[in-house]
Amino acid sequence: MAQRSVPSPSGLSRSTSARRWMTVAAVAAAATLAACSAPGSGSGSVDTASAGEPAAVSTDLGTDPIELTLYDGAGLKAVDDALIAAFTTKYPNVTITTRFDPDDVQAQNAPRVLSSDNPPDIARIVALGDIVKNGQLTDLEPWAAAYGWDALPGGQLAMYTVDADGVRGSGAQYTVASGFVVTGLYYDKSVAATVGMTTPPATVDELEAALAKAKDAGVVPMIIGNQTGQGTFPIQMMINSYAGQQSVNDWVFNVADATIDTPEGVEAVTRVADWAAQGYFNSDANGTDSTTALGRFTQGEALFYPSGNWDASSLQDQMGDNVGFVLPPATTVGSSLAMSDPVSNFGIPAKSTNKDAAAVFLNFLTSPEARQVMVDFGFAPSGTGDAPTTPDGSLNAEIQAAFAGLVEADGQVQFVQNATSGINAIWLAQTQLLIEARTTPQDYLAAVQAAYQEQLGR
Amino acid sequence: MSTLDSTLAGEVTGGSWIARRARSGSRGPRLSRGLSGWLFVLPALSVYAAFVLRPLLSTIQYAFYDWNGITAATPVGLGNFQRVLTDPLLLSSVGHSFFLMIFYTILPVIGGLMVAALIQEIRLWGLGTVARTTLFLPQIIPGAAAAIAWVWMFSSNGAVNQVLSAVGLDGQTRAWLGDFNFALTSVGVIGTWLGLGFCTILLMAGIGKIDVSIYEAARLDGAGFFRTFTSVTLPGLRQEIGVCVTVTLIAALASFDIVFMSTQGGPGTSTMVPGVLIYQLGFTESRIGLASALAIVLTALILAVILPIQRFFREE
Amino acid sequence: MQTSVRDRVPGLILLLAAIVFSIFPLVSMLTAALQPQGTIPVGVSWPADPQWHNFVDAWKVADITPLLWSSIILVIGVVPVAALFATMAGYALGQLRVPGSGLLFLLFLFGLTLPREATIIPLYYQIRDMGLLNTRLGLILVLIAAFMPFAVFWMRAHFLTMPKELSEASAIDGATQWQAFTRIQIPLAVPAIASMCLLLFLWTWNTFLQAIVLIDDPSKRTMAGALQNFVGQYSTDVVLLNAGSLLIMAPTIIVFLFFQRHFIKAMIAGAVKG
Repeated sequence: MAQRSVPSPSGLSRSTSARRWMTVAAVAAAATLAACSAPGSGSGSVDTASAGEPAAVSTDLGTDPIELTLYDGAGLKAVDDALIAAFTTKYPNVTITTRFDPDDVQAQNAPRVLSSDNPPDIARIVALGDIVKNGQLTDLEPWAAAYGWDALPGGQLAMYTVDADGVRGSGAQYTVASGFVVTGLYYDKSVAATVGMTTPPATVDELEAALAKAKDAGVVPMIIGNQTGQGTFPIQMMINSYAGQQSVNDWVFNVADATIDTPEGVEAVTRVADWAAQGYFNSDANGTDSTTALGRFTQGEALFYPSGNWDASSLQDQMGDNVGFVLPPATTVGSSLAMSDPVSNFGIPAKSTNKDAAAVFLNFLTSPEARQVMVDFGFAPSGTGDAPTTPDGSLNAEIQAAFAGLVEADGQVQFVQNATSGINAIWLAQTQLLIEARTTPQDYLAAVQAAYQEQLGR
Repeated sequence: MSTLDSTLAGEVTGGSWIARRARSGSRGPRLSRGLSGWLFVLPALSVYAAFVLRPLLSTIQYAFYDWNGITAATPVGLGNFQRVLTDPLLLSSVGHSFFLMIFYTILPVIGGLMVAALIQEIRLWGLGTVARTTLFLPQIIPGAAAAIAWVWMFSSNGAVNQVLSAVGLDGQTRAWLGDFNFALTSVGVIGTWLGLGFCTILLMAGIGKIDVSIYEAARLDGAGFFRTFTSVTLPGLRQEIGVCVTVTLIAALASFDIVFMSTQGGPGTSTMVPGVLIYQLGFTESRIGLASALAIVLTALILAVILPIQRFFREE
Repeated sequence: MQTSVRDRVPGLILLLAAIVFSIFPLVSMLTAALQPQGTIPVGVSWPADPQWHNFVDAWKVADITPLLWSSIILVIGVVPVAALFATMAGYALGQLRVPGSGLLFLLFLFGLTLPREATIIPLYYQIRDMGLLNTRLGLILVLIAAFMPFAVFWMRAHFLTMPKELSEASAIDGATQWQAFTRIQIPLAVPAIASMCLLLFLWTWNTFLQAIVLIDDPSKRTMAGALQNFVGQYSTDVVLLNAGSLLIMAPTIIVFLFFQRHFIKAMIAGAVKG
């Protein structure tokens, strides 16, 4: 090794020629950059004109084997498998292969998955307005006419439709939901007895009284897994009450000039901030995720647990008769609003090659068999029809009854986390700040609104 | 290895006059040799150019547009870069990664130096292997798995709180990764864990290379421990320290796996680092232009930090 | 060094502390993994009745077998090809006269400090446009390219230590470039190639970011990449989560234990040369 010292790139000893090469390379790179067309103007974007309907629509599946792919969030694997099983019993020539990503990953990947070359035939769509604006979904009007989907409840149709400006709530239909979630407050009956809460709260004042009683009795009044953003549930419940259904739904549906940063909204958030200041939430809310919070609730650590019917079966398994469900309290008696949106809002990607068969599946979702499957899993059924059966007196029956009442009173509100593809991350971060009083209610809503407008390009 | 060397050397000196004749031969063989040299480089170069250099150029290009990844993009000039340098969230993410440097780099280097200086070499049979194996384990397991392990340890019911309670510091227990004041430090602890073993081994190996006679000379001169440390050990370990610093600094600035799987940047944005923010901006919020600008700034930052350090530690 | 054992006690204590610190998280995972399923373990406590079958259950529940296969396939796809390309390029840059070799080398060197985040976003779109999204081939190509800077640097450093006269002598014997390369240089380079392959194996197996971005189906990713999905699905059961994570870490740990001497030498030498 005596001949060489530390190995040095041989090029540096001929520094002038290296420099010459580098200038050549730099110029070449710059030229390439300048010459490149703007990203996304090529094959990436979807031709909106061809994203529409085929010439004729068939409702007959025939007997030839058909293969469909379905793309959904992993949390819904069990219920989707059951739906598919029921579907293939009815239509044996169809096989449906499934693909699951973790729930929030699926929501954020969906736009890219839909624009790939092999999109699924049926996909759960969360940011419906964005995706329709990008021309990535099939307009279902022809099938809606063929299957009579305009007879679906108005409140549900509102979740499926998008108009020409990309605003949800009316217009052409793009999706059908497999079922609905409904959110409210679960309460621990034995803890309620201990703290002296005799009836579940119907108004916000009653709720606050119950929270205070729980705090005095030394239990956690309301346990939230705010590491995964569960704190946004009670906040939205209050915003619903103060700002009203129309205002919140407009915001989620991306209606022009919609804003969440309203005086009523600030009032609502202030109330929840007060709860946090009073210690009504678990002290380690930001360090607990929702599954841990659920586990601790079943162990009797808290009085209330804000969640939806997706947790019903595990709560029932672990708490039996000890758990009850109540819709979010209202500011005035009798007008309860609740976050309720599709379990999986299934749409057909524009590039799918099996649209007729996929539409048969969508129609199946409103059939009695599918409705029963959804209820068996603790979800609320899609469409209309006879109420599917539930065991008497069970938690599920309680929730179904609450949901039926909600639909009748047209009290379904969309989740604010779904307003745009990326707004969930903002809600999450901001709620974590709010719970620890590191931001004010005014700044909280202002930050969310600012991000909303930026993401929608307003 | 050395026998081979000398055998080769023997052959070479024997045949060198032939080699000299070949070199002074016609231009033909040399040109074609240069060309075939290119052919040898071609596979590596093409795959590198296609999947590293070209995307890098694309990142630079994207940074000048506002793009959501699906529809056509709109040019915004330097707007994204301006945003990176002024937006509090983006700036704070850079600040966080600088803070993490303390834990990823400074603590492991100091710890490694202390162990290396105090022990010098391990003579106890078996302890050497055990030490090397266990100290290297953090580098072997995937970062995502390390994050899972530490998330569990930092949780309310986890080992960290258990240890605190055991030593009587009950009042200090908390959900570490969910606490605004301590989350970033906790992430830093994970970084220290990652780098400590690596630096310790590297520095111990480096100390083994320092000539024993220098230590003898220092001792004869009456130098105490500290004096020996600064005048003999530190300079002798210069290159190894440089390596530790470089490797761990890049890990701190570019960190993704650990933060992504442990805090996702939360609570709030108190542990957000550029790597995770780029992913979030690019793939969750579909703001490709801004994400690309941040990526470029991150790359420039890494270069700006590493190059001077390399120069400093490599000067012989 | 002739220091007495007593003088080295403080150092030994520190060393022991570092060892315990390094291994502690794994021990913590192990004790949690052995608790009865469905319970919430508290801290580190060896369970009274260790449930070793939890590992079997976690294996089945998390469907680890396809993950293992997937990682093995990825390693087989990445490591030999990357080693071959890098050895060829290292040979050219270290032994042959290649016009512009200085620039080429700097180009590869630059890649050593380039963070993955700098290229991951366009890579997604590029791979998608090539139709390779969600395929292992796409990930393989990306990883081979990502490893080129280090691998070329490593092999070049090795070939620089080989006497130039070796290849010239063989040229006189009438051997073609390729024959000289395969018959003479490669056999001599085997130790360097072997340690590099160990490192490439480790890095492929532990790849996370590229795996989660380029492949949506968790069972086609690397085992490390599958962890993201894993946590989402099984966060309910801390016990199973820890058991499954240990299983996912196990292959690298086992390979490491077998080859630990070579691994460590390779990593240290690689870092020093870098």
